[in-house]
Amino acid sequence: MDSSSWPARGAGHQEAARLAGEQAALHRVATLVAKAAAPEDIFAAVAEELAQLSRASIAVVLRYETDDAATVLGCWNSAGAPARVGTRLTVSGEGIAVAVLRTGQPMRAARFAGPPGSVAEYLRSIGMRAGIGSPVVVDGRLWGVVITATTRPERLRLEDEHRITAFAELAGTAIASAQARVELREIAEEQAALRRVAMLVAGSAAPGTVFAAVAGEVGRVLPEADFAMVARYDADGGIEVVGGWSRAGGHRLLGRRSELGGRNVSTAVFETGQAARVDYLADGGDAVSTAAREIGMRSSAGAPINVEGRLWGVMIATSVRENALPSGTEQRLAAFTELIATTIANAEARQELRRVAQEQAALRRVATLVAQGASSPAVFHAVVEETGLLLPADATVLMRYDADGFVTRVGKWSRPGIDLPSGERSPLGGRNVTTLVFEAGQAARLDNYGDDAGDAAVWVAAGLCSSVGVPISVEGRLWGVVVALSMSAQPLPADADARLAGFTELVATTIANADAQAELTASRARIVATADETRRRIERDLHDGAQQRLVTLGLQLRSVQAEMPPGLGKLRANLDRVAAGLTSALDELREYARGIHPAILTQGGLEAALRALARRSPVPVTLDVRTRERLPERLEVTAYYVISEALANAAKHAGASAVHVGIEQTGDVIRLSIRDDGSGGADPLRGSGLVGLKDRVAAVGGTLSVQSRPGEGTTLLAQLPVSPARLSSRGAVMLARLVIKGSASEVPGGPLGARTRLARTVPGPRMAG
Amino acid sequence: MRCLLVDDNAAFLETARSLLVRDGLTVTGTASSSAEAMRQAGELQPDIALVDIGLGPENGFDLARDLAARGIAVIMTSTRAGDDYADLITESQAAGFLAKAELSAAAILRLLGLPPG
Repeated sequence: MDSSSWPARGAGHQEAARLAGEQAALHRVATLVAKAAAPEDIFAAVAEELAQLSRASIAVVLRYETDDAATVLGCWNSAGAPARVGTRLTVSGEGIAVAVLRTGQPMRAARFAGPPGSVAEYLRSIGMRAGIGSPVVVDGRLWGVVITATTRPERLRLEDEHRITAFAELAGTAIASAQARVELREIAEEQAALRRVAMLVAGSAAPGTVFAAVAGEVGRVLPEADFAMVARYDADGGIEVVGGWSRAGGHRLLGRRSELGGRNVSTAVFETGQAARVDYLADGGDAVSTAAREIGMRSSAGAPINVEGRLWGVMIATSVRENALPSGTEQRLAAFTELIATTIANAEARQELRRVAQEQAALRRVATLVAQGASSPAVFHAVVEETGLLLPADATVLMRYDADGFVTRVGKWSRPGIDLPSGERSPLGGRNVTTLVFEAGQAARLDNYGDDAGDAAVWVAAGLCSSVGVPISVEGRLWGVVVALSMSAQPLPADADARLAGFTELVATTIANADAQAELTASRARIVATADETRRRIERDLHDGAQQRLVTLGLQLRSVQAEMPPGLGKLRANLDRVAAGLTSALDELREYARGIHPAILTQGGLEAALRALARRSPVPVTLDVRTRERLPERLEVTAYYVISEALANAAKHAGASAVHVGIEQTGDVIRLSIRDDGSGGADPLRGSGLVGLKDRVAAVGGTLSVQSRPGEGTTLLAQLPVSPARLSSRGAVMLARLVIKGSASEVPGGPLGARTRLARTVPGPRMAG
Repeated sequence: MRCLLVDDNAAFLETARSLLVRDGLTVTGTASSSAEAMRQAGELQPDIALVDIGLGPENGFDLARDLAARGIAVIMTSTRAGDDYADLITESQAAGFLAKAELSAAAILRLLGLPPG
């Protein structure tokens, strides 16, 4: 205060008293400031002291906000109910608040006019006719304004301006120090809150836990908030609360869903991607404001939650009291939204990792089967089961497109409790995924079915809601399809077709392998059969041709000899020599012929042929034949050659004194064993005879093994499947394990199915036991 | 002794017949198939039959059983070695086996346990 403003001496007691009163008032307020009283108490005191001293009708302390609004921080109204602390008013129109904001200087005004909700309008509405305002400066910047106004303009005097300036300065000081303290406290609180949430996030707490914790902390750092929520934007234009808090408690916010649209924070944030706030004005006439007020909403602030570049959801704080949320609330939410975004990104990343790991493990399991040469049915079953569990689906089927417009189901899986319609073959047609994939040659997906579902109608009746089909292409042509089905309202994941892709490739590989394998096996079998047929033919030709002629020749020679007149000793001797030569030739030819093909095998069967072998063997042979019936010809031939070669080895190399030959049938497998007590040490790769046997045995789909430890004799074991092109025993074991473990039902016959017994070409006598 | 010769090889049949006849055996007939053999057996009522094991596509042992059932003594014969067929010969109720190369009346009589001549 400068001395030029002092009134002239002798203004009178009244003036002195008034000045004293002013000093006292200032002193009271200053004391509050010095005692670090709460700012609201200081503002209230400033307003009251000022109003009374000025004999004004109203005094109000306003803080300017960043958005052309001002918040009431202290108010005293002699005429009636003062404005509530926290009330937000706009700074617009004509009036003191506008003028001070614009000039930064003390201002007077004799007129208040402004839009509803403005300071000017408020003052006018309570009858103010004139007023003074003084800026409150904090840390060098315009912080707010202290206004006194009166219904009777004549009451305003010059010294009122000085007085109000003095109080404004005091207020400024108080605010500066209080603000510093509050700011410090707020910062500390906010940091503590953020730290608590950050620890949850770092501890990999479940997202729901983090959301609830954040909502609670927001409520703690925003005393003005009554509700705090973390909400997620859904794909269908809706929003769902995933974490909520209410000051009053007892509100169930979690899980609430609503549609976007209208004048509210969630919609504003969604549309702009920026922080937003909405105030439902106390007297706003629009429908939204009215409705909001009816349910008690006063203002809301929201900050977007961005996860890895996309808008995931929104963090909202809402106030239902008369006090709006302070300006800058939405910015304070930003720090929390970053923690939420990190949590979500972490959780999603972990989930994704887990899913990828599961998918890789499943693919690996199936790939292992394929690499081990498991049968196609075994691989099909593994694929439908693994993909069904992985997606997850309610059921999975693997279908093969047949040449006649039908599909055959070659693999199926379903969750326990879900029964699949029976029926292996069905026609293509209608609006279903199997048909769509067939027509387009690409993956297809249906999430709703109609009356035109074709053969899927039976599935629809059983509850089918959505399905995804991925084609299986083998060597460039469409072979079949894997279809995953969902019976529940929950649709299959959006990327289901991508997830199935890896499995369809394994199926294609298996089929290609199996085809190649079958081709190879058939080719080998053909080669062996052709060779055997050739040998039979050669033997027969020899028999019918050269052998018969030689025999006849020999008999004719004998006739000649018999008709010789006696006495021709030399001639007789020569003829004897010729006869002997002929006999030798016959014997040799007979041996060769038998080596090419033993006729007894064709005419008498395996057991008779083996007995002949045993009789001829230099090493004693024990025969233990336990099969009851004649075997298919190709197996008898194979068994004969295996045993014949083994006997030859035993005699030639092993130095054995005895050989035991056993034949028995267990189920569908013929087991041969040739055991000798020789020196052992046979190297299965060394003797060419054994290598040839391996090929012959493999050609009929069997296995050959040699056990030959030095000093322990040699045992040759062969297993021959009776049905052609059956699973190898290892494949059968694997399939058995899968069947026992999983929920598979029958294994379809498919192309490997029906057994055929080769017809025998030469009927033979029944063998006794 | 009246003998029936059964073989699908015509040259052998002819040679065998002239050899046996020269040896003093009566050859009542020759046949090249089971059907023909059974017919001849019915008509001619031989005492002995010489049956080729490999009777073309047919099984000589089946014929042997049928002939033996009529009381005819059957001797199996073959170009191939007889010891391969030992079991079959026994089961077929044939009297025995004679290699074609060793065919003679004496051998036949010896096999049947009959005195020579």
